[in-house]
Amino acid sequence: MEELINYIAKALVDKPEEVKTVINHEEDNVNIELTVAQEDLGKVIGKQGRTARAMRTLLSAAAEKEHKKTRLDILE
Amino acid sequence: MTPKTQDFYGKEVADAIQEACEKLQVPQEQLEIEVVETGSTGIFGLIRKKAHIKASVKESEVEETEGLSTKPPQPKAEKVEKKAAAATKEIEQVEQQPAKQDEKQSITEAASPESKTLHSAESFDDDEDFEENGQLDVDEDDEEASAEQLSEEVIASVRQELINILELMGYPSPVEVTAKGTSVLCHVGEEYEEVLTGQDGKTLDSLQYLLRKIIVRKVPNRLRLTVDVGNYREKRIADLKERALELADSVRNDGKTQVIPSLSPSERRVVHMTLQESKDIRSRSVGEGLFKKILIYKPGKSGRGGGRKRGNSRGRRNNNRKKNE
Repeated sequence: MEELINYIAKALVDKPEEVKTVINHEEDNVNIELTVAQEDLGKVIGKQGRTARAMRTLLSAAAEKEHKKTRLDILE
Repeated sequence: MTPKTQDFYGKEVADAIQEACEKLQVPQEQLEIEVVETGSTGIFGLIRKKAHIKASVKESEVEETEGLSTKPPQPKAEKVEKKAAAATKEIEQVEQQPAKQDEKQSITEAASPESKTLHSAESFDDDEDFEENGQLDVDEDDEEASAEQLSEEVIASVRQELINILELMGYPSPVEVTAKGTSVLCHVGEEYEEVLTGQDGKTLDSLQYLLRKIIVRKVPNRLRLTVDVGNYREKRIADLKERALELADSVRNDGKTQVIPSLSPSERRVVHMTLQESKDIRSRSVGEGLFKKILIYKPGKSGRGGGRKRGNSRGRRNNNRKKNE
């Protein structure tokens, strides 16, 4: 799941080398923190958060397999 | 002024001019044209009048003249130069009516609807124009060709990208990509259809949206990208059509406004298109953002956006929700 977000984020930004993801498992929850270059923030969030929402949707679909809840934080 | 003047008739002045061009075998710029009657379509086609012009070939004149006058009193009608391109040899001609500057302008405007005819005529004659046109054509051809050519590599990269994402999601599936012009359809195997579709296709739409975003950055061409799992899109369209027609029927019966909640733009399009054929039923999108609901209603009775309608639609919406589940 971490790689999924990492992969998508890298494909969307201008500076893929600055994309970093951290994953935290807590019980049934999976938290992923995504960090990108300052100027790429808008690209992973998208208009009205559409891109971020789409990533979250895919993430939760991916987590469905393991019956887990997910959370994606985009860090500034 | 000119040797043989002939009369031409047409539905509009432009038609008459075109006929003149064909008959006399010259482009419009070389015609001396005098409009005798502009013609009119009449009322309900009752009092139709044909446009009437007098035209003759100018001698050794690469000039375009245009006359417009409703009545034919003066044999010498106003003449107008229109194209800057033809302006070089213009001056002697224009001198014939030096005092008519103002009229010229207004006439140029009045005559502009004919510019279509003009264009076709020009390309024969005016070398410069011809070259430009030719150039343009070539460019367009190039673009089309390259779009088709590139698609081959593009298709491969679209396919690979989608495969990668599906694998990372944990639902590796076969992907088939077909392209028609600039629209590309990615068809994902049906094994994980349910989870990849998501509720109301939300997951599939997210996948499609992200794939588009990624591809836009990778590929120079503009693509219309669609992602489908199993037969979901087709089924969804069929469902929506059926539902729209069902709801339209119930609106017809009791006159109460019906609502389909939360539809994406393409889904709304399907509903609107479906209901367009039924004349007694209207459909309309309400709400903000990407997902809007559609009202299906009978026009007339309840005022636009009136309180009654709103009350109805809320009640209906709940019903629909139940239906959905």
